[in-house]
Amino acid sequence: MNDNESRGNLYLFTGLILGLAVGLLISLVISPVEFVDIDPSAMGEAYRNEYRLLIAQAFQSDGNLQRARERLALLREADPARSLAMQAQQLVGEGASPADARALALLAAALTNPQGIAFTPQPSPTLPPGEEAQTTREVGQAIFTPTPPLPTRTPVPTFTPRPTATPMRALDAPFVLESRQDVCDGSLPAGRLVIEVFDRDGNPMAGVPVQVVWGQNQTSLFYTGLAPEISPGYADFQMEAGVVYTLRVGAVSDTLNDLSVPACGGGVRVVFREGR
Amino acid sequence: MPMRTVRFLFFLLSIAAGIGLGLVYGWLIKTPDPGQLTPQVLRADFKADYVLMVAQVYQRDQNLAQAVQRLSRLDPASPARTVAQALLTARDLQYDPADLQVMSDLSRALQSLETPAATGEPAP
Repeated sequence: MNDNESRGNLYLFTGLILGLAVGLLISLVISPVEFVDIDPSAMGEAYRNEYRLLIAQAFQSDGNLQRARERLALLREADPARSLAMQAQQLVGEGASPADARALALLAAALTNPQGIAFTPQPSPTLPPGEEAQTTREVGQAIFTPTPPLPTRTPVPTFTPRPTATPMRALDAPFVLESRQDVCDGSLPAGRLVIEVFDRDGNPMAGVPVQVVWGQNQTSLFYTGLAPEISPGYADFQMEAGVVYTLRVGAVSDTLNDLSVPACGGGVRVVFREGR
Repeated sequence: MPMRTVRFLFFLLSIAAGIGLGLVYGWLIKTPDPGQLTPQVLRADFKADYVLMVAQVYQRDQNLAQAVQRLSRLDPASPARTVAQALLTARDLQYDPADLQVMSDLSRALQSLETPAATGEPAP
């Protein structure tokens, strides 16, 4: 009797295993889940970083800030300017291409302060009356489906007409030291070297290379504009007590020597202005 | 109903339950990691804009190797085909003529890369 009952249960178990094998074969081999028609925000982190860099470099090419904004919006980040600045800092920290970091920093600065960057994109051409530029407002969710994607087209984005590219201003003018001040009132952390760079008109300048050299040819290269929330022309560097630093702003400026942590233990603020 | 028929129905039911469990596992539990999704599965219009950005950067720096490397994210097999498809999409979407021109320039550069240089020697 007991043998008959356990045999009765065994056939159910066998059916379950058979079904499971068929189910797994279908769901993992024959028709596995595939993501198709995703929007840029669904890409992996590394690819989103590449996409962000591509947007920044394309912005350098066409100077179209509105278009860059719309492209960044596709990544659905709360604070695109901050993401750009953080990626620029990360690239600098990793010793990656300075040009890439600069492109990111410039776009971050342009987003934060469109009027304060060294080059001003031309406005988009005015559309004829009755026509409105179509922009991407809605992007599709990632669709995962066990079947191959259907070639259906969804509403698609078009971007604003492309304006004539405005070449970036060459940063070949020497930057002149306007002021140098030891800050001992506690407003700067100990050893903080703050660099602020302004253009000829007094606007903060993003994307200006700043090089600090110390010790046995140790060097650090970074750019203004990596902290756009402070100022597009802002950059800083952490000095160590007892070490003497040399600073150069831009490519052809004179060096500023003998920088070190002040005796009061505060920071140092230097201001440079673009020469004529 | 005869016992044999009942047992057969339960057997079928257990197979169906097993298939259901297998499908739930494969389609809902063990899905691909979204963090690994690449530009290759972007929607066609986003791919077209991606290609436009690559073309804009190429227009500025003339670095074809970098453009090819970036386009390979969309289709590792043929960057030229990727740009050609993007151009078609861009035309459908009525991209600005200047943008189409930038993309066409990149397409031409890629085609010249993929076309073997003529040697002037007769074919065997």
